[in-house]
Amino acid sequence: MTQRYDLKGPVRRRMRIADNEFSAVSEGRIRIRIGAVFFMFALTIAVLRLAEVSLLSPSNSGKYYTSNDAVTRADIVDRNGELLATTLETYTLYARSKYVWNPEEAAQKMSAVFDGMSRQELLARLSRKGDQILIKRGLTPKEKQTVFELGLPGLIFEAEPKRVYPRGALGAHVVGFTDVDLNGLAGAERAFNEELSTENAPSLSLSIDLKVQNAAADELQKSLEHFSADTGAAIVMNLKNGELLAMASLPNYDPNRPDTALPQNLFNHASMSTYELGSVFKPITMAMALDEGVTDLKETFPVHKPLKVRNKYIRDDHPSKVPMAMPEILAESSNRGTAMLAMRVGGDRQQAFLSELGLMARVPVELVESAAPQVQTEWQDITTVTVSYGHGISVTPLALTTAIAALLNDGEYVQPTLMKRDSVNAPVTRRVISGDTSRKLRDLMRYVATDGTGRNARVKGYGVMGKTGTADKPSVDGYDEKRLVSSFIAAFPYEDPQYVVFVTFDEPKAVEGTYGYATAGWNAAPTAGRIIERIAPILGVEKRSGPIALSPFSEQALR
Amino acid sequence: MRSYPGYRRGVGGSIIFALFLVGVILTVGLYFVKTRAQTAKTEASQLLRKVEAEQKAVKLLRAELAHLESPDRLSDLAERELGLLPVKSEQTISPEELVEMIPMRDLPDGGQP
Repeated sequence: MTQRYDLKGPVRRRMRIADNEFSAVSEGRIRIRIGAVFFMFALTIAVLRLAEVSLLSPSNSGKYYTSNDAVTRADIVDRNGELLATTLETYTLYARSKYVWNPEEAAQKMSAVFDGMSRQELLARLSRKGDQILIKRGLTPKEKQTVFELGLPGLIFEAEPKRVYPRGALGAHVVGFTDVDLNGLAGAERAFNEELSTENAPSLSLSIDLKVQNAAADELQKSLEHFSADTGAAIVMNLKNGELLAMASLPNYDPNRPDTALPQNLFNHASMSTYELGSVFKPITMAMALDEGVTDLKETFPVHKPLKVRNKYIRDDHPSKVPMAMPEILAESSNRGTAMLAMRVGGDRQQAFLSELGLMARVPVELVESAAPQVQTEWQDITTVTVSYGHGISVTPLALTTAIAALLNDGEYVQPTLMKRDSVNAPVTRRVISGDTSRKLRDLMRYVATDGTGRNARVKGYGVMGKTGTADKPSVDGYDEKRLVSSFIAAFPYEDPQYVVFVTFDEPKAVEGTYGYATAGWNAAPTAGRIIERIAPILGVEKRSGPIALSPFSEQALR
Repeated sequence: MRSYPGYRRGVGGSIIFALFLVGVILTVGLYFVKTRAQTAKTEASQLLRKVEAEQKAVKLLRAELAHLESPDRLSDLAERELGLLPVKSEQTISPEELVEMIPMRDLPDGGQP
């Protein structure tokens, strides 16, 4: 300090004054410095905090909004992508009693939204004490929004997935249903439960064609009502690749509310009920006889004479007065004639042949609801005879459809499927009869539709083939002639069979116009015909303009 | 002797101060970037939420549509409201049959059709 002021000379007063100034200035500087230090300190803290926030704060990159759907389930669609089953969000409404201001008012307002619940019911629930009082399950998003907009305090909504079947009862037995936890309980829901419940699974394409399903179910329903039958089933199958295009069972149910359905309505008669189907088995016996070469189409059999096997007379419904060859035996549905063919082939070969056609075991379709047949344990000669015309063996409609499909598919058995065929799900086939026998069988079944018991199934321009089957139902003592199972197996078009249609009715009644008959030719055959008439255009089968190529046995001008 | 670094600040001090300043600026900048990133993230998850809500709505609408265009419902409506029934085989005709049923007209100038 001296150094600096020495230059200016030693003036005492000045120095004193300078001293004063200096102390004031230096004090000011100290203050400034303290201030600066505080400021820097604060700034440093702020900066450090900034740095901490921006560098060290926990990264929340993983906190993107994710779906809270714990349970998901893929959609089920038909072969053309039409929606059959989907999973939608529904809401469950709870109340927290602590926050409910005015239960009366809330009940009043909410009763206007829910038609299913009365004001008293709502009031009773809203007045209960607790943290989570269940008010109502299964609210649609619209209902939820409406309730939300009422602005009532103390209400909680909880999202819950629910399986929805927009087509209702249509195809219900095929699609099936799930429980509240979305586990498949029936139909495709059960058969493909694993595929459907896998995360992000693609929608499942069934082989079903919704339009064909509707046509089959609709005609089946109309006929079932017309003939007052107890139950009925219809199957449409692509015989070339085994795809099931329609499978209807009546009575049916709404899969959206399976709990309200009668238990017997949940039963899929098409694949789960076994029947003694009767004469629809005759084409099988004939195919076997022809393929074994034990006879030909021209040999006549003495069907006009009584036939006795093990003290049992084989009876014919329409007894013939003359011997008949195979085409007439099938067209007139002669039990005796068929029995003679079967006896000539023999029981062992018959059993083997039925096994090859899949009639001795459960149909290997994906559905869990596929029943095993009921077959006699001891195969006697009488068994050979009765089975030849479809008695003494109970099979499902699906089993018979598959067997006949094999006979008409150039003799190749194709495993039926409920899934749309693609490169992964390619058909599994095996040869059961020769192509030549298959063509003969086609002629025989065409003859039934042009000249025999299946005339009511004819559809102009589509060349329908078929076979009727009317069986008395077994009862406590033998067979009950009043209670029938009538069925019709049909295929079309004649030149190149592509589709097979099976219709069966349990206990149809005779009505006006059927001349007192409740046999298959009067109910199942026309139903199958009407189904074919409706589905042929849907399936793109071209209508023939001229007369259809004639069955070689027919002299009638055919249509 | 008292000294005043404020007056006699050397080059070293300036550099430290400059670095400090740069540090402050960077930190503040980083903070803003981070904030904006977080805002963007929030926005993104809001959008995702919206997308999901829309997807759910689409699903619902698809289900409603499937219900409304169910063939059984449509055929019921067609029969009740319009009196339309499924087409009978007799009502359809193939092109060949059409030619047979409707004879070809001669052209007015006698030319070939």
